[in-house]
Amino acid sequence: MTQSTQELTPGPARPAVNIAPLASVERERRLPRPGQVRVAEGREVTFAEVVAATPRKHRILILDIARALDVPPQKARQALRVRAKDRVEKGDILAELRRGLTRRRVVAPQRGRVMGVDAQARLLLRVGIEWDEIRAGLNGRVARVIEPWGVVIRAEGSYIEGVWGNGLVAAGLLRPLTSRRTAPVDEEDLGLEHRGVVGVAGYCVEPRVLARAEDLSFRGLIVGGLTHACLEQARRVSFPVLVTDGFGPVPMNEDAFRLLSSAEGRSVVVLAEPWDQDLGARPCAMLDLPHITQAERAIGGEPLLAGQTVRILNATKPGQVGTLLSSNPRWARLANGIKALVVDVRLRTGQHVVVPIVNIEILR
Amino acid sequence: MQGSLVETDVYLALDVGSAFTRAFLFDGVEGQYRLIAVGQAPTTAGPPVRDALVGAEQAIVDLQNLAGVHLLDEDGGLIVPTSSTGEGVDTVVGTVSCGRPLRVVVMGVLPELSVASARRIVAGAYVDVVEVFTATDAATPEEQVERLVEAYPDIVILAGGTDQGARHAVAAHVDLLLWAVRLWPLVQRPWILFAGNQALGEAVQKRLGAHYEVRLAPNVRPSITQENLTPAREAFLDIFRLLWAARTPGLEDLHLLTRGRFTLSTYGFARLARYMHRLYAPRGTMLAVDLGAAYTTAVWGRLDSPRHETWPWGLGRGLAPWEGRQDFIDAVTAWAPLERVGGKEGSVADFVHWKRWHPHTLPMDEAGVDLEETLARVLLQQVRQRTIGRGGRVDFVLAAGGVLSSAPTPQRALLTLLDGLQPVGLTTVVVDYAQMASVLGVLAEVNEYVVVQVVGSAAFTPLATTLAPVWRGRVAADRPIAEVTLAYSNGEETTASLLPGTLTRLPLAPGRRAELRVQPARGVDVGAGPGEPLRRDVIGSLLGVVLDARGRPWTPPTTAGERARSRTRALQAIQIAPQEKVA
Repeated sequence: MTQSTQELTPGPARPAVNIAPLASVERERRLPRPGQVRVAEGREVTFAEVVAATPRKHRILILDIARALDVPPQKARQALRVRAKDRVEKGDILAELRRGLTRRRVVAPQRGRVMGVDAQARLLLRVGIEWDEIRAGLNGRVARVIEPWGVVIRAEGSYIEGVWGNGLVAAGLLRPLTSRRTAPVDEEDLGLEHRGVVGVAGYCVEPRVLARAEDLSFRGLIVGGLTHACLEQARRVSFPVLVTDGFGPVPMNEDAFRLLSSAEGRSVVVLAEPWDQDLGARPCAMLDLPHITQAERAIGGEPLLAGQTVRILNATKPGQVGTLLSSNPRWARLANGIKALVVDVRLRTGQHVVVPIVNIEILR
Repeated sequence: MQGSLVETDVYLALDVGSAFTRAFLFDGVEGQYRLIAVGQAPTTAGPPVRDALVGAEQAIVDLQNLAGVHLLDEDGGLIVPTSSTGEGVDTVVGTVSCGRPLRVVVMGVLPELSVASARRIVAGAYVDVVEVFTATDAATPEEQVERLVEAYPDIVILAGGTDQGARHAVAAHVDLLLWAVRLWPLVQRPWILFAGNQALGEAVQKRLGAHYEVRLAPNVRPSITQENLTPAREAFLDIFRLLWAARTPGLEDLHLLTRGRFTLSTYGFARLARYMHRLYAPRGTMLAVDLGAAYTTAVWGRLDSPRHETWPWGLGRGLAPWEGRQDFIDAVTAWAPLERVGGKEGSVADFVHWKRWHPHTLPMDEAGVDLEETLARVLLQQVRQRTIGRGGRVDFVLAAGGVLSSAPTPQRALLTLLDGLQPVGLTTVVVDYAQMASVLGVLAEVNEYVVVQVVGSAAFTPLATTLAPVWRGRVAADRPIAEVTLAYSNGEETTASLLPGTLTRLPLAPGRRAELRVQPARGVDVGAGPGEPLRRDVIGSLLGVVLDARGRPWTPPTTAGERARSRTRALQAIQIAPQEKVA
């Protein structure tokens, strides 16, 4: 029996996974530590553009000016020719002291930036810096700036969220590699015609597939499931790998596969950064649309309601999708003896199952 | 003691874990405090809700429904204190373990003195000690500044120098912090906790105070022979609470709701573990383990010298440090009773990734339970290595964590513990079935009677007393390694000839006592020395006395099929007979 969603009291909020043909997405792009935001609110950005950065490594020199000039610290400070934040080139004078007819000088041993001088006239010179950068990740507009952490990017298009990504971002044209969502991709499926594409397949169990994709300069790979044997290879390849459903020979969910396989030739951005469970930001793929009419807002969670399409998170029977029959959870003992708060779900096969609410994800 | 049963207060205790939030209700029943009910809801500190208070409220609603009492008023506010009609609660306490570990840098003079003491300040808390600086550090000043800056600490513990003692090393570390301040942006600057030479306190405050939030605490090492950790630990905890509350929405509200009776779960757990240690093995050793989703806590050792550690790994999100390590994957595979998961191409390793990215999920079938218990075994082995070591004797084990407390049967929980911890000798095992150890630890500060009486109730019925003999070399499979007699107080006896490689169970119901007499074969040690007989009084428990003669270290069979059969045989061997259940 299908029940109307409006008539029922909503149940507890559960995470929602967005798989939408037309969605408006706000995506927070946040640095691991505070840093510099490099774009302004309202600006249009492309996925590869650096929007914020923070120093990761500093290489510094501490120069003892007093010792170099052979004078007390107070006198050495008076001899300084630079101030904090000054940029200096190799050979620039940092301190200079006239003594009789001669001059004593301390020069910059390398190009760098003066970061400060302490009471003992020791000068801190930063001579190298490496940055952690974050990119926009999606083609869109800067909706908000969150100083000094990063930005929120607003983007619109077809949107698919996943569960795992290998940390990379790229874009390319979509190309299905398997005709069924339940089929694994084989090395033989990949020919020269796939050069430079973003491939879509049911799942992947062979690390050689990833090596072959690398040879073909793939711009991305989207699969339902990826086995442990492939994960290490996926971390090594130079293109983004997005897993939509789970680990192991897990087929891609029907909605995602239908959306992706019907979009052959369309441009897609694959933002395969790891799922940030603190921010609720999942790895995702976004297909550009030529004309946006009315996009639905993608959200991270919503209350359980009867009639919703849900994905059942079960490691030993992955990929099951069904319809929620009730929104009010009850305590019950599962067949394996574990006591849990459960809801009833009718699988697409027609089977009725009892599922712990913590094993439910709403498919939007 | 601040409270008594005469007051018969009603207590609500909230535990905000990384996966679930639980609400416990304690009230007097026939003159004794009892756990009335436990409500539970997913923790909501993270997305989509991002407010820990919401999960707490849902857990309280669940508790209301289960206990059939009114705790919330019409507006959803908690009724405090109890009304004349018995609605509401009198006192609320709480613990929390959801949140990322804080990054800590330790600075001290000598590794074995001030640095060791500074490390002990943070021991057990949810922290990651990312860098240590000592006076004997061989790195150049430039290298030290780079290390400090790149450590990006949340808190720096600056210790060193006995009172009126070393000054130079402390001053050098202050210099280091002053250099670093020129490279960190303002919002990146850590808190400084100074707990070193008190003669330098004012100078440290003066030099660092303009750039950092500085907290002064009494010296952790006032003299070489003295250690004073408590005040510095309290100061550290204050800073910790501020930082965690700032990062985790809703924690500040919970702090207010509990009127400050809100601490880290790990501290509550350690406190209860020490209490139970006194109860079960005052002269022996203890190992208390809380295997959580994000963190694992252990308290171990003797009563007069307990150790307390928390590691940032566990059975959910806490698998992150392990999922990329092949040795861990190999260990899980070597212990798993099945080879394939989720189809013919799936592997046990896939399950590790699954659990790491879906920490809230419960196993939905027998295979899922097998795999979770396998992961627990491997993580418990890590705990064993870091605490009692291989072949370590332990007299009392307190075990907590969802995989154990929610195990489908007590036999499964015990077998997971035996395989993981592999205790040697005679051990009393207690499981925290209601997962309330940490909140009871906090309640102990409010009303010790609650803890005494709840620990003595059915909620903490011991799981088993285990006896695990050890021997060197090979023993004949058909020759007993020990003769065991359990003499009950009513004069009856049960005997068993212990064959190597077996598990045997001798019933001893909860509340009963008996004398255990063990006569080992030559060279076999049952806890009194090789070949020496053992005679001990033992208490009753759910499973009675379990004799684990599989040897130490015990490793599972090499094929998954044989491992599955071995696990089934082991579970059958310690099964409770139907007639016992009736009795």
